[in-house]
Amino acid sequence: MSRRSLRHDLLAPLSSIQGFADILLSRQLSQEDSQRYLTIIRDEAKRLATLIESAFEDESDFEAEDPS
Amino acid sequence: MSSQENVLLITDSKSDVEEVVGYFQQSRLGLKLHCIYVPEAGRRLLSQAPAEILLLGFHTIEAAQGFHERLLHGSEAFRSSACETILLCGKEETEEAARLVRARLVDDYFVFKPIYDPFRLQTCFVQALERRRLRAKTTNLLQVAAEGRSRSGRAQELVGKAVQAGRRLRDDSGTALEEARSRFDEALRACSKEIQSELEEARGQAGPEVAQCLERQFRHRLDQELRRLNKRLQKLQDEWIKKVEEYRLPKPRPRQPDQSAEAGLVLVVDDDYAARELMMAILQPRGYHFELAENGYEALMKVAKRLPDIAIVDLFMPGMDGIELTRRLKSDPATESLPVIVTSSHSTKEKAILSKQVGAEAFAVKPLNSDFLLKTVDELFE
Repeated sequence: MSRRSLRHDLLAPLSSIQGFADILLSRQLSQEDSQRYLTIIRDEAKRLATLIESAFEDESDFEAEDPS
Repeated sequence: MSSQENVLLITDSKSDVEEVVGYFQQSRLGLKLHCIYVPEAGRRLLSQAPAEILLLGFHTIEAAQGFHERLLHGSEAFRSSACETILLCGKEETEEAARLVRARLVDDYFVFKPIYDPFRLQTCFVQALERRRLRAKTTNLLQVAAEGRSRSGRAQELVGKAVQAGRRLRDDSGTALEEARSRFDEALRACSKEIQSELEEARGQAGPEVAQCLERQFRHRLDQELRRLNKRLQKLQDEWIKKVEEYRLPKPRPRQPDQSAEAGLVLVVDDDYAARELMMAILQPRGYHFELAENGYEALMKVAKRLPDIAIVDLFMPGMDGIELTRRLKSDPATESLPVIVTSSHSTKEKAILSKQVGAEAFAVKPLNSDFLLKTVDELFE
């Protein structure tokens, strides 16, 4: 896995988490919408954790590749 | 006729003897004649010194009461001498003589009364000698055949014994083979068990290191395979889009007149599910309708079906990325007026410039700023 690809993969769920958190903080939402957004946040957080675990396991692999 | 043959004449008639003796004196057949008047004496003589040809007076048979039958069938020595029997008879006895010949009691008959024909008698002798020769030959052949049969029987017996021995050998070898197989299987099982045990021991010793090594190898192979498949997928997608373009994309349907600006259609293109959901959540207050696509190819198809009011496109996508999608939308007269916002978590200046170069109206960096995005979209809708 390249550094660029890893960066994209890690930022994608983080962006979603941040975006939904902003919406939850700034808007008056229905119970249904709030529940839905929180679920997405939780799922994305899980995904992010899995990606980080995987990235550290594969550390030797991406270190061997060209950083560019 | 080179060798001298013996002819025995047994008769009770002196006139027979005279005529036959007369014939022998004249003929040059080389036959030696012995005359006997008493049948029993003739039989004894035959058993002691068999003659080659026997001449029997017709009445001698009757007088001797079955002598001839006994002579033919009762005396093995006589039959083995292969003596040829010729019956001397008168014309009136011809029928009976012929019956005796058919019954194979005599070999031939010779009519010498009332007319005596010496040439006919000569013929009888010649034929008799020939029959004797043939009979001897036949006897020899029969002996040879009997010997052959006997040898064949012995050979068959030997073959039978050989076959039996072969079967015993086969049975014995079969048993030995089964035993050998059984032993081999047993040894193989024992060996396998031992190897398995050693292997498990080795695994136990190597343990986590080996497992980790295998896992890494597996992951590496999986990664390679994934890349190969992605390349293949991209190639197929390119081919597919080329074909689609060949048939010309249908002209996007324009927005319906009754659709208000507040109910505009927004196309969100992103390979990430949460990113698409977030985009819809941010724009929710405006009450827009949404069309979703996971990559550039799907987006082109959606646009071809219905032209949206605005497209928000992620830059980094597998297959056709956001830059290529924008370039295609902007190079097609049917979609060139569609406003495009490119979003990316790569906030590099080069990407923003590249997006503008291909015709994108705006560039938004992830994590998205809700206010910035709403403001940009509002501006593009005006």
